[in-house]
Amino acid sequence: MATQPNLPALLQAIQTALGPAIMPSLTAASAGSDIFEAYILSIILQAASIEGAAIGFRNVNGPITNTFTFRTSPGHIWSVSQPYTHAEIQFPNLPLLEAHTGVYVSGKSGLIHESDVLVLLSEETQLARQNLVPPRSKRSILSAECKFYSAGLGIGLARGFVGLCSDLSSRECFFITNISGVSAEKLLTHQRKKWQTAVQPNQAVAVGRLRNAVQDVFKDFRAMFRL
Amino acid sequence: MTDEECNRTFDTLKQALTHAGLGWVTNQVDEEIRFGKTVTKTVSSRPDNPEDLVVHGLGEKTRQAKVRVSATTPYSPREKLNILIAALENVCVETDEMQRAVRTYFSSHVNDWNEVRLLRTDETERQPLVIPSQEDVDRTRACESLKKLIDMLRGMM
Repeated sequence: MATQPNLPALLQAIQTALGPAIMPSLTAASAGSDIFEAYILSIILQAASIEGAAIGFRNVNGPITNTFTFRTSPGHIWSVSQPYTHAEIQFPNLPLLEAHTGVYVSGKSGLIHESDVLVLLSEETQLARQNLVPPRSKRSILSAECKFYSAGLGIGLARGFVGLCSDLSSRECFFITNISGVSAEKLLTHQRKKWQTAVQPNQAVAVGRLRNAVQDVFKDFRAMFRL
Repeated sequence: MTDEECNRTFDTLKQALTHAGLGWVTNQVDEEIRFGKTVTKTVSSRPDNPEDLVVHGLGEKTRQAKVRVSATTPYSPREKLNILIAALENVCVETDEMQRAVRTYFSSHVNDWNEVRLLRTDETERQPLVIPSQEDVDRTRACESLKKLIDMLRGMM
């Protein structure tokens, strides 16, 4: 039977273990957010696959090499300053969809907002790239606001999301976070918004619930565009 | 663990996180603690009428209506420590798991990929965060070890 270390020894062991466990970039809060957005994108793409889509990847300037570059701070979908990557989601006999991270999108008011993960019709992204304009949110089927926090998921985040939703005309807007927050959850429920908190690999129920909700979005897309 | 031990452990752990460059984590923890725990309270909807002003049989009833309202209450030392431990786990352990999930996704859909670069143009001084196709075994082991120590600490609370 293993012996329990005393408290000072345990704290010392945690301090020692911290160094090698922390990625150097994690000293910036934004690094966690970047990883979280990539993780959420992978869940959304999994949901599309489960619903029968073929997934491919392309760079803004051509076919993919062996490196994927995802933008995690807001940028224009047409920007070629880096070989930004997006996913292509192809359901049989349906219009091609694209999934992007960190792109600007225009709302009902004409104002430009940021979407952490955006799934939209490829024909809209072609139009945006040709005319150097942000895509219109009404041509998107899913927009996700991703929030990564270590603690203290404030109500302000949910309040901001409610405001954002009022101007975005994406078919579905999701508020997705890695931790729970009672106030944020209450507000979003009261406002009848789609949300999923505590989305982390060790929270199978939350992850499954999000994946199912996104599957529903793709199911509706298939129904809408089916001939 | 007594309240005093919880407070001492909180301070030591917070200092360790700050020293490790995770000041942004302790700031978020402080913010949550400052705000307090959201609770529901049952309160009277109108003040008491002083007994000597009440004329029995006249006017409104003196029975007070009770209403439920939201309020905040301070976290206990144990709860504070729990918040800090969860924050440490969320940042160090869970981000490693998320990277593994991303790696697994790409490995199952793409042949011969090299890396996923997460590029942030609003922080030009920061290097892109890279998720390589091959796991960093040393870091994974370190995260697993940290997770075990965190669980051990929870067990002592």
